[in-house]
Parts: sequence; C-alpha cells; structure tokens
Amino acid sequence: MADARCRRCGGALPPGGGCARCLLALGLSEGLTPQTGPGPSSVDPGLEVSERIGPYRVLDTVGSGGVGAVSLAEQEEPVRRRVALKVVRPGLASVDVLGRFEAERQVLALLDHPGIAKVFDSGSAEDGQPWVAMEWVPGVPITEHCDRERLTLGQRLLLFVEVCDAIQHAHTRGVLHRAIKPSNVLVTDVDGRPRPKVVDFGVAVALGPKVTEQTLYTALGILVGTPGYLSPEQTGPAPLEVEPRSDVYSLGVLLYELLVGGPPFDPRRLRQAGWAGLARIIRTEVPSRPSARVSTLARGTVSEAAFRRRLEPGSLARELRGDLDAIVQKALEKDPGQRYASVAELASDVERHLGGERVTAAPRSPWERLSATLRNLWARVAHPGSH
Amino acid sequence: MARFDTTNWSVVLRAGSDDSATAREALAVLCEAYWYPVYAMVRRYGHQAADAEDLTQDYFARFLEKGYAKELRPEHGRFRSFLLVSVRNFLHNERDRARAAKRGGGKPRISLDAAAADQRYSLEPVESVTPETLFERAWANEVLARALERLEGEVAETDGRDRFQQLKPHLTGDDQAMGYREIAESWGVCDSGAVRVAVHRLRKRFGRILRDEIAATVADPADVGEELRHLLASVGRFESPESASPERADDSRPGR
Repeated sequence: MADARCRRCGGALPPGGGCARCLLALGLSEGLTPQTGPGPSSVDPGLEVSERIGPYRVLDTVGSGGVGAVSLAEQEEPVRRRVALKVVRPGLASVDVLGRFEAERQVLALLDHPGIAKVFDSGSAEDGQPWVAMEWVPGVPITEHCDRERLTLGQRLLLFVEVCDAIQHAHTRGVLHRAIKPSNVLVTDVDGRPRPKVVDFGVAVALGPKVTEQTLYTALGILVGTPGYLSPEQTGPAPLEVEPRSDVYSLGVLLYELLVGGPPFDPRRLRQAGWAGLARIIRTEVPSRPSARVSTLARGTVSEAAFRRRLEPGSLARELRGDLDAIVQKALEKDPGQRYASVAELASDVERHLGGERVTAAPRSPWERLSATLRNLWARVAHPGSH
Repeated sequence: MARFDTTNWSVVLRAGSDDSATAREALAVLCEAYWYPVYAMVRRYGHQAADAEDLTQDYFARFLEKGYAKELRPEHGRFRSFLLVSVRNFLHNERDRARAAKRGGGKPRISLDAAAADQRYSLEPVESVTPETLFERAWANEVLARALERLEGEVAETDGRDRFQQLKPHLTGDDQAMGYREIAESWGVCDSGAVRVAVHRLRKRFGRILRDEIAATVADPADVGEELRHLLASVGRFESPESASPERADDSRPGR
C-alpha cells in the first residue's frame, strides 16, 4: 500500500486514490497561455519529447484530427516560433498523398486572411508520413468561448459572420474546408480582441478522391468531419459531389449550435447508429428548427442555454423564431440546390437580420419541407447516382 | 473581457447581509459539497466521531441559518479560506458550551453520512499534520473527487462507463492501468496512438472541469490558478520510498 506509486511523477499514491499532484497539475496546465508553454504534466510519457520532424521539435501531442495527430512544435531556424504540426496518420498516406499535399500547400499558402490559420510548411518525415506545419492557434472552440463569455445572440451572430468571411475567402480561391466544426473554429486573442480563426483548411482534400468519409469511418473508425456536421452529400459514396454548399451546411450546423446550445442531431444517437444509420438520419431526417428545439428542451437545459445568452428562459425561443429559424433552415436544406448558394449569401442574410432588414430565407412549413424531401428522395431512388 | 460572475461563492459574497434565496441556495450547494474537510479538521482537533459530527452539523446549521453574514467581507475571495477561519473561530467559541442541548431541534442540517465520514477519516494518512493542513488536503481531494465524478458522467454518456474505467488510471496515475496496446486491442484498433490521443483528450477535459469546480468556490475567476497552486502546495511533496509508512488517524491519541 505504501508502495503504490504514481506512474507519472513517482509520488506515493493514497490507497484507492489518484495522484493529487498530477491531477491538480492538469488544472494548471489547462489555464496556461502559449507564452508560458505546456507544463510537465501535459507531456505524455509515451511520446518522445525530443522527436524532430523536419525543422521542428515536437513539444507535445495536443490532440487528433481525423487525419492524424496534432502536435505543438517549435521551430528554431530561421525564426523561433511555435507551430501546430499535423502528421498524417499511418495507414492513410498513399503514394499520391505527398504530391497532393504539396499542391494543397501552395494553394493554402495563398490564403491570407486574419480568420484563417496560416500554413507555413509541409514535408515528409523519416517514415514517409506527410506533415503540415501551420499557425499555432491558442484558442477555445467558438461554442465554448460564446458560452464562457455569455455572449448574446447578436454577439454570437457577429462572430459567426467573421467565420463566414474567412471561409468565403478560401472558397473564392478554390479551397473548401470540408470539416467545419466548433473545434476547428477557435477563438483567440488578437491584439486584445477575441477573433475567430479557422484551422484545418484543406486537410481533407489532401487525402485524395478515393478516400471518402465512409471509407475512413468503416475502415478506421474515424472521421475527418464530426458526424453531426457532415452534410448529406458528404455521407454519400461520391465525394466529388462535395462543393462549397457543403461548407454552407456545416456552417448551418454551427449556427444552430451557437443559437440553441446543441447541434441539430444528438451526437450519441448518430454514433450509435453506425455508418448506414448515420447517413440515413442526416440525409432524411429534418431536425427541429431552433425555436422549436428550445421549446422541447428540459427546463434546466433551457435555463442554462438562456443564461449563456443573457436571456430570460422564456425569451430564447421567441428570439429565435422567424428570421433565425429561417436562416438556419435554409442553410440546413438536404438538397444543396435549396441552400444558400454561397457562404457569402449566408453571411449576408445574417447581416440583414442584424440590421433589421428582410432576410431572403423564407420559413418553410413542415409540410413544404417534407414534400421537398420526399421529392428529392424519390429522384435519387429513381435515378441513382444523379444529383 | 470582463466576466459577469455568477459562481456560487461570488453570489454569496455579493448578497452580503441581504437575505436572498439565491444566495442561500448557492451557499447550501457549497456546504453540501465541502462539509467533509470541516469534519476532518474537527476530528483532527481531537474530537471523537460523535462529537465531531455534532459540531460539524452545528456549524453548518448556524452558518446556513444565520448566514454568518456579518463575517463576510468582499475581500473573502475564496470560500475555502473563509471556511477555515470561520470554523476555527466557531470551535474556539464552542469549547465552553454544553453540546447536549444542541442536538436535533429541526435546524437546517446538511446531509452528513456519519458512518462514511468516520470511515473516510480513519483512512487519512494523518502523520503529524495540523488540523488546518488536513482541512486543506481534504479540500483538495474533495475538489478532485467532484471533478472526476463529473468527468465520469460525461464519458459514460458518450462512450460508456467501461471506456472511462479503462482510461481513468492513465489520468489518475494508477499503477494498475491496462497498457495502451492492450486497450487498443480491446477497442479493435491496431494503432495505440488512438488510445494515447483519447487519454490526452480526457486529461484536457479533466483540467477544464477541475478549473470549473474551483471557480465555483472563488469570487474572481482570475483566482482559479492561484487557488490551484495553493491546493498543490497543500497536498505536499511526494514522499520518497524510504520514508516510514504514515500514521493512521487514531482516536485514542490525545488531540495535538
């Protein structure tokens, strides 16, 4: 009993308990700013701390995208700075990936927008794994930022428009994101102001046309996107159908979450449904519109959501009814042809709402939506493979 | 960006001597959560189990009933430090009073499981720590336990309790953990990197929950880091293997 030792720090462990030191240290390292760097407890014992990839020295593995691990790394020459290093997961890299990465890197390097994390460099590691070094963004997911700061609906919408601007910038240069989700939209401090930055641009494209979300999911159990954020066409077998309006859909999901407090479909339900079930739900089920969803939430959840938006519980549904319901619904249309044609259009409608002008989106009654969905489904069944 | 504070402790402080239902509720939440450190400190002062239980109940009854509002000052930034001083004063004044008359009486009581408290206290590695140090350590452990519970709840909801049990030792530093490779096999993946990443995510999430729990007990969110450092200091340095095994709390010893 006196011999039980913490496997991380070696200190004595209380009987049946955890290492209080290490656990408390986790709280500290969560609050650290990038200048002070990660504390000792955030270094994983399994990872070689002095691992070098290209000109970068890996400091800490901070998480994973669907494509591979993300690490905080440091560059010393020619300039000293911290970067986010993404190394493609073993098993995903194929011969043409390197070529695609290089092509993507050149395009991505053209993206110069304050709302987009810059790509600095790319290459391949000793074992052939391609890597990309990009701007290290110390920030929190936008949903978390909005909740922590208790931003009002208006403030959230303003942030959302900034995100749209960044995505639109990329679209006009031919780069899709394809994996928009809260953890890819980080809010960070820029000159004293909190600004959103979109990370992980173009990562999915680098994987090549043969690799689809379905392949990734069934073979490796991972996704590039997050289930709830995948557009209906992204759950299909033909990835070539993915185009700017897929990003519009994902932005619609993000907007939904910012307004309501949760995504349109229950993530747990999607996960438990398996790939086929997930695809079916996303392609056929119409989620409740934001104001309706709020009305069906449990009282405690509504109170919390309202609180986080500085509203009285009774007001939240009312604020969402009308314009915001319509905008979200239009962004989340199953048929890309029915959505906003571009991210810029989505942003404009949000701005119209903020300015008190008429929005272009018209709220559709449940019956209209249902018949449109059925027509679409029928078209697909009758002519498989066509849009 | 200025934050609008509604953490439990800040609500209590702001209410001051005003009798507000929200403040009472916030206070009740805090007391229900952190009564054990008070109990442990009272025991360490030398009181036997039954007396300690009474005293603890007494303290909270008065605290919740009267609000001890006159004791509250805006500069009492941390509930923990406030409680420590308050309880010490209480015990000092209690010493001369007969306690028999105080039992029962329909006063607001916190739900204190006396048997569990006693058992828990008997497991404390007391060594030669002062009651105050024991209070601080018990407090730290309480915060950690709450954070772990919340984390378990979250993970259980999304990935199931089994998943949490597998990964938890890698969070708490337990020796008996399944290795990453073993866990990866049980998940049906061949890449232990996935496990490593899952562990990392768990640790980050725990860190956030922990900060949140602590934030509830401080008035200014900027104090969370400082409070964490204080708790780190109070749990003590790791002992070297050569040190003698710690003494167990023993009621037969005279209180120190």
